[in-house]
Amino acid sequence: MRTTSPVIVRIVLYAFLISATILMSFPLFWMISSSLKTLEEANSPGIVWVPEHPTSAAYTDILQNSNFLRTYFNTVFYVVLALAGTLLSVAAVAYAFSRVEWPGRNLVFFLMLSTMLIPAQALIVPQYIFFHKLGWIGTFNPIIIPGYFAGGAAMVFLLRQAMAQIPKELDESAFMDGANHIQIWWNIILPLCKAPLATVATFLFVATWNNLLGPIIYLQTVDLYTLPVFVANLYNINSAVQPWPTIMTAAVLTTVPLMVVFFFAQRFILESVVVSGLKG
Amino acid sequence: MIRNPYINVTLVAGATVVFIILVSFALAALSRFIAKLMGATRTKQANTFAGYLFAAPWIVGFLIFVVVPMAFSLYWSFTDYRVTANAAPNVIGFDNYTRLLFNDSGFRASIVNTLFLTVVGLPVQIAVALFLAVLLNQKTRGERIFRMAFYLPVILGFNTAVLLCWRLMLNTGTGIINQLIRALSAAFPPFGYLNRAVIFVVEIVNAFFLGISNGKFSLLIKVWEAGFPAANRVPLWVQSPLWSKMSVVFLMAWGCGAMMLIFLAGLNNIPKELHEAAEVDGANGWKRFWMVSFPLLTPYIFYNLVIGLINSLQIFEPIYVLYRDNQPLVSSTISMVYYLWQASFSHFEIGYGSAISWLIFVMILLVTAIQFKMQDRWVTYDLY
Amino acid sequence: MKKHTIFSVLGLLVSASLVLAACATPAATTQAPANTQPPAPTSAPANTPVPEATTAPEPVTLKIYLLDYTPDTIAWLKSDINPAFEKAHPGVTVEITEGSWTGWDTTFSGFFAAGDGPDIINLGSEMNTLYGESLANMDEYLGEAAWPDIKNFGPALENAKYNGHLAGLPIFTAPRYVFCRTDLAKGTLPPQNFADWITFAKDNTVIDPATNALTQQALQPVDAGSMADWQWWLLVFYSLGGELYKADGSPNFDSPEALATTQFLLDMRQATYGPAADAVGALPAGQGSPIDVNDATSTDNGAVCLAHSGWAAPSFDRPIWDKVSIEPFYGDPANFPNSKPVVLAFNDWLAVADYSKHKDLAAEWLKAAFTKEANNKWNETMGLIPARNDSQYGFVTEKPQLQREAELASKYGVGFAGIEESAKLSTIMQDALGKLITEELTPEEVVAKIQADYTDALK
Repeated sequence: MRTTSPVIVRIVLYAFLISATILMSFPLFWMISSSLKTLEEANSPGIVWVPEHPTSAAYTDILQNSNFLRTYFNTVFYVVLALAGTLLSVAAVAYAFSRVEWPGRNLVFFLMLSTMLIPAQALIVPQYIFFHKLGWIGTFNPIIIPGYFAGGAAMVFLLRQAMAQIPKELDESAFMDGANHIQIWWNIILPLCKAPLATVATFLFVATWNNLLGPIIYLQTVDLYTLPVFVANLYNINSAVQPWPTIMTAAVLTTVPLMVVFFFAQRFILESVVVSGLKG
Repeated sequence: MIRNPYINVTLVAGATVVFIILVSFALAALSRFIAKLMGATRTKQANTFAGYLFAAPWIVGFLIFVVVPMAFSLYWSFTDYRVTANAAPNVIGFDNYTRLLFNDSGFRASIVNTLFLTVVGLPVQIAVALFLAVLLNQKTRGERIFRMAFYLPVILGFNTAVLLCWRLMLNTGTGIINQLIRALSAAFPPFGYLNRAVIFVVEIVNAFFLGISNGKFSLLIKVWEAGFPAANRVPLWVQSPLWSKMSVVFLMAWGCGAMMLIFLAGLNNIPKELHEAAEVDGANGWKRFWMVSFPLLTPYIFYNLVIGLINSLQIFEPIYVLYRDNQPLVSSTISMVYYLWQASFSHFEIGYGSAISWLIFVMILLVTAIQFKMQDRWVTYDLY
Repeated sequence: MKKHTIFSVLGLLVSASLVLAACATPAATTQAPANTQPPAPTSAPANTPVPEATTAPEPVTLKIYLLDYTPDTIAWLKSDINPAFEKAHPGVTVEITEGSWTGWDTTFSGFFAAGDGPDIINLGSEMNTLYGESLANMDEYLGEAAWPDIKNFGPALENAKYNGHLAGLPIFTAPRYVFCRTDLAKGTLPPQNFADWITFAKDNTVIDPATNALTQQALQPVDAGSMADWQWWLLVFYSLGGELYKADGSPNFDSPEALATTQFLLDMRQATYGPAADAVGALPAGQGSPIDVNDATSTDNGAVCLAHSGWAAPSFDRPIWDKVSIEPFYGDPANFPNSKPVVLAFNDWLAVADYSKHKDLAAEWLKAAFTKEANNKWNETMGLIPARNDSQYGFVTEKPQLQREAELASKYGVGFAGIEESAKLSTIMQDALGKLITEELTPEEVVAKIQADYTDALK
């Protein structure tokens, strides 16, 4: 937009931006501040905004905690594995809804959207029993494998909108050259969808990394835990003295990868989200 | 016999991929076969094959992870299944449903609360998202950082650390939000009056909704009789049932980052020429927004509205996180899904919980269908 | 075309066998020191039933799920108790899962729905009725005839029973006391009846007109903001000599004690916060104990008295304890002759699930972990009072606060157990009590509502 707006408008603009930023990032600020406090400071009655003598003791401690390190590894491992499969299957399913005409397409699309209407809490018990029968309780399987079936209708929807934007002529000329759908999908459509794919990957990454309910129910032993479960477990309601610096440190370290990923992926996200043609 | 969980899951993942590929081909072939039987052309058969091939992963997953559990849930909704009673579910017919629809004041209260959060919270969320997106759309230094800051709430989610932080921020006496309000009221008296007026309106509206959900309007009468709030009044956020829902609305607005990104993308997609043309015609910033940007944003508003509506009708986490250990306030904010969770995992009545989940599902379905029907009235695609 | 069809059929066959093969793999075990799985009674169609006990004792895993622990507790269990147990029972491995209070109810519902899970589960006080039907009857293993030691368990043992049968053993007792700052309190401590408490509340509460919020709160019960938590209500009710159920088992919320309790809660609330319309703000939710002092600013944290368990009190090495008294809640002897001082005791315990296939082994483990010395050690790692009366030595007597707490608990302890449909009652009461303090309902209406709803829920 224009850069020649009057000064007063710029000042008001920055004022709004900065105050909104403060409000939005206050919890993060609090987390970081608490993580740099000593145990007494963090547990002192009353509110200490900024620690008097910031100490990185909590950080050095937790980075030497083998449980934490293994949990970090678990989380990275599980997210990478889940993401790889989910992304591929979402890309495949989105292709079906956007670039192929097939009987029953609209019905299946509608069915898919309607799965967003089901509260997750309703499916917990039957799914647990199912996974139990497979012997998958206490493993990573229940939190990774369902994603391979293109779980997440909203992501399929997003990608489908993006794929629908690509001109049909590309397909047609490829057909005339004798290509089949699989080749078109892999060689033409996917490379053109780098930005939307990055977007979906980012959203999936955030959701999977922060997922708490699934891991809590299905990963039953400490050595399988992921970061959200680890942080939740640090808070022990039976302790008079909560290890707040430790909790906050773990929480901050949990958030860092997400912020890094998002920071670099921002541009892709904005380039790719196009939602015209919502008649589905 | 695999001991190592990492190798185990990797192998299972590989097996799943193979499984999916094979089943996809099988399903695709089957569908093409059926198409052939129904006399389709060769191209149509090829397309049918391709369509089902690519959609099969989702279809299979849908059958396994959605249809079968939903079927169980439906069956259980007609039973009295107490999961900790060490007894099999016994069928009781429509009892759960009749109880829910006609006899359960708690469920009705949860519907009222959810509607409040949707009717009040969703517009607030969308408005804030739009406002922030417009702010970010101006050329500013460090816009990447601002963008990230606004998306931060979504990234943080609702973990223990964030919860404590919100409790501190929303404390009535010393929380930063109220301190800001007090400071502003002291500095600008008109703001003070505005503050008190807003408090009054909010409390009346909330008391009204509480009256509907409880069937007694005594609280509304009390609030009315108390009159215009005193000068030192501030919102009670997480302390009073009159404000408990507003705190949730506040959290909803705080977490509008995803919607904001959608709007930002939409604003980015408006061709510069349109704005330039409008400027040439003499329109200032405000007019430009309403005449040019807003109509072209309607598809994005619609998208956010649909997704936002689905999400707000299913709202659970902010309420759980803010009020799970502040029990007296729960009934004033309990949402439908929270009610479902309470029945299933607090009272362990899975049968009742299943009936609730089916009712919620049907309700959301109806609402979404209505939304789609109405989109033709106000959503503009491709104006140019 | 033909090639495709054959391919597809083959594909179906191969994938089916792959799936079955994957299913037949028993659940992956942990990476930690090798734990074997029992020959799975769970899992998929392709398994043939395991033949009955063959020659050597089959390897067995005893699974224990703990929620109340500190890292010290787990370390001690793994270094002392478990190795000794495994040595005494060759072929048996003990596996401890450390869960958290987040999402425990969802996790447990999974166990019971699937009919499989840990053999021993860590439960909270009031959960004996919640899970009672799914818990094992351990009388034959832990009853007096089988284990004479059981006599040494104090009143906390009631928490571990369902329908009169033992379902497990209690670990600790965490009663709720009234902690008061003797230096801050105006008036005599402790208040001995309701009228005194109201006066105490009025005299010791300070509201700052500038912020319209509390800067000092006379009594902070379990829920400081509303002062209407159901556990606080039960504490007061029991102190009046109230009984939760009539002789025929129906709820007793239409008794004069119930009404007096409700009225007291309302009076206390209004003596502290004023009428609801004043909209006075609560004390800030700090991160330390409300009765403690902020070292940095030397200001008090705001509460004069605290009616809560030891967790909310300052840690024992704080200097503030010189000025803190520990008392029970004295009820209202002026108006209710049956009043008695009470400390409401929360006793977390370990229960044996009915689906467990190793109840005898579970009982053995419990006996090993709940000997006099073991119960003492377990609680030492947590800083709580042992459930066994004869375990209350050592660290209990060393800390004067713990000793006082243990004395009061054994004299005045009332268990938080035997409550039918406790989860539902909690919801019903919280709902009604919430409306009490907003003055939406009068105390009479509140007890009537609770009585009606609870009677309904018990049908």
